[in-house]
Amino acid sequence: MENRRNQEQKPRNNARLPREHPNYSPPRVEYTVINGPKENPEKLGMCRFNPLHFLKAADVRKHEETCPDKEMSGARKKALLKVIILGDSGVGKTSLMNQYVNRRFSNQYKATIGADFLTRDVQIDDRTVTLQIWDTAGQERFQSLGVAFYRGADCCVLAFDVTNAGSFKSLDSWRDEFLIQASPRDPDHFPFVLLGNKVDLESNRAVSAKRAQNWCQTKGNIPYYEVSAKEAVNVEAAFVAIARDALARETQESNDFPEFPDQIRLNPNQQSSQGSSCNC
Amino acid sequence: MEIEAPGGSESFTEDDIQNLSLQQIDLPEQDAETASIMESDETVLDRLACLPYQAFVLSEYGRPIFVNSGNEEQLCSLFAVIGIFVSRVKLWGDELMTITSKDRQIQFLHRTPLILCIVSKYGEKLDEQLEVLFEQIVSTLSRAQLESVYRKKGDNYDLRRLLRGTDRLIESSVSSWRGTLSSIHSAISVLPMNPGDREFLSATMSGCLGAAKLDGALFGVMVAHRQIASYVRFKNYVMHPRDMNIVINLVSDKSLQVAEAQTWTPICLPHFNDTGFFYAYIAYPWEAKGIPACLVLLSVKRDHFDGLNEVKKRILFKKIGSEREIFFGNFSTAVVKPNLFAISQIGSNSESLWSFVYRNHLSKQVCISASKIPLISREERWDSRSDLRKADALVSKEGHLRTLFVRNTKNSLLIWVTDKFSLQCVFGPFVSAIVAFTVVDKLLKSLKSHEQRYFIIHTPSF
Repeated sequence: MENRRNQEQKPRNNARLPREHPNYSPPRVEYTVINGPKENPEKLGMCRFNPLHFLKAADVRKHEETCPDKEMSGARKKALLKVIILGDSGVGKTSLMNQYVNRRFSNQYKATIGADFLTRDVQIDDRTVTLQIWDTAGQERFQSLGVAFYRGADCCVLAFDVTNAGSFKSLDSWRDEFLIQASPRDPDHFPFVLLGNKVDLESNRAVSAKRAQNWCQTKGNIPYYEVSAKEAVNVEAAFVAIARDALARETQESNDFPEFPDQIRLNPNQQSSQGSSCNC
Repeated sequence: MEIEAPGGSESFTEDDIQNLSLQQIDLPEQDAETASIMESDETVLDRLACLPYQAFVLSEYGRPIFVNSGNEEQLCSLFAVIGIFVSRVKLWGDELMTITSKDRQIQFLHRTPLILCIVSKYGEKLDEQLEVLFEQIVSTLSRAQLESVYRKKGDNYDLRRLLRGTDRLIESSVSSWRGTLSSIHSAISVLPMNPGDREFLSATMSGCLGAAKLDGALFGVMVAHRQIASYVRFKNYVMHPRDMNIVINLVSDKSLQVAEAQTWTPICLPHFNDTGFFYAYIAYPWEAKGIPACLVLLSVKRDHFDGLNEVKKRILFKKIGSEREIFFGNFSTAVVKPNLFAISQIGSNSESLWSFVYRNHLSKQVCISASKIPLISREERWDSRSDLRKADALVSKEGHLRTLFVRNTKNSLLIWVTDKFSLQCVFGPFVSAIVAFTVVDKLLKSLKSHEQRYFIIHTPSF
């Protein structure tokens, strides 16, 4: 180490020597906190190891070389959206979802806890978005599912049966129920989607597309899709729209750095009790 | 009978907590828990099922945050189910603690705004492990920020964005459970060293920190193999063993171990203060020489990097000369070839004692024996570890338990608990209780006479 100290005073010009070279000496790297007093913010990069580490930009590459495992070193995660599906019993929520998603966990929990959970990836440009779909049971006895079902949702899908006018009339109460329980930050602009199911039974139609669209307009231009258990095309389109919308919101939220607001205030009196049995 | 407890009487902290193990006794991952990017849900589930502990962290509204197999988004249905189990029971005005199936235990912990869950065949003290996991997350964000983040950013905020890059730390914290007895999470284990060398190191560290007069620099720790070689502190301030383990977990991350690098990172130590941050100066001064020791200096001031960098230089270059050379030679040997407590050193009948874990309740330090025949292979050590784990759980469940001797077909277990220490031993199956207690008596004497080698008896303050 004494030798190293001498070396440090010499001009260092060995940056291009390979690591194996006998005269190679590793570059001195100093990681500095971003809000340190002397740093020029433009020279700082973020270490992928931990968002809390801020490195000088020149050192980031070196650091990445030493942790080649990109997956674990904090590469950007897939976006994940919580999507709630609400609607009367029998409108076909579950059969629509079963057709749309992989079926791994479907129909396992609904009777017990009032909801099933399904997972589906959607590709939006170069990004994959995972949808965590909460398929709720429409029965009376599950009507109060508890806030945990609703809160934290990114989108709410309302479903009704175009051959059942009652299920259309319930939409208002489902929407209200959602807004009350989930209490989203901006209820007027919370993303809803309306699905009118069973359009293949055209002869029995009780709710016209026009009527559904009018309802959507009065609720702040909710997108409306007519779907059927035979044709999932529109369901796909609906979810792609949901995902695209959510990604756009995500990019608006730029500040994802933790805050370090509170400096620890030291109170010697408080600590001394802990150290009172110290015999030094 | 008055028994002297090896390991010192200096109280480490008041609370009860724990820690870690080292190379020879460590049971590291057999396979890295790294995930490839494209995997089917089934593969992810299968990989998860192979882990001895399956740990989940989610928001209380069911959004996945962490699973120790990685690829949490592929398991997001499972996360939702966990969340609903907890919130359902809460809706009934109750709190879900555990679900026990035939051979698995599922433990839950709801700490607003997070839900934590662990599934394991090894059901002992899972509640404490969830606390450790929670504190690991708090160490990145602080409790204050964790509690306010959803209020500020909305219930649908994806906390993974704030925790980005720390998966590996959470994972290594979870992985460390398998290598250690649960009772060790609340204690620290000490690198065996010559007493004189330890004293020299501690004196150098406290001297340099004290001389720097950095107001707010509180702790200095030298870590190797997840063990403490030396620990110094400012005045009366003490670091809780569980906080110490958070620091140890951080500096054990391979990506930090860059020769000649210095890292400066905020870290919240929840037992010290869960609303604010320490700033940790981390250096591996001898990494280039193949000595994996790490110097950590902790300050509450964010602008102390340069000051602590100077302190490090002074620690390294102090007392150039023969004394230092001798110390460095000894220290590098102690780090490169850790010299664990060898049971053979206690003399006659020691062959009947296979393994032990000794824990001093006051100083919160543990001493674990070096592995010896017949507990050498991974499986053998894992089996005996499981026995000790059960014994440990028994001790914490049965508060009145003082001594217990159980003879099994494969081995015998001896447990001895006093106010000052607890000792758990694995003996051979043929040993009698009388012989076992004689051996233990000798063991305690031997530990006592070498206590400065295996424990930190005195933590200098500056």
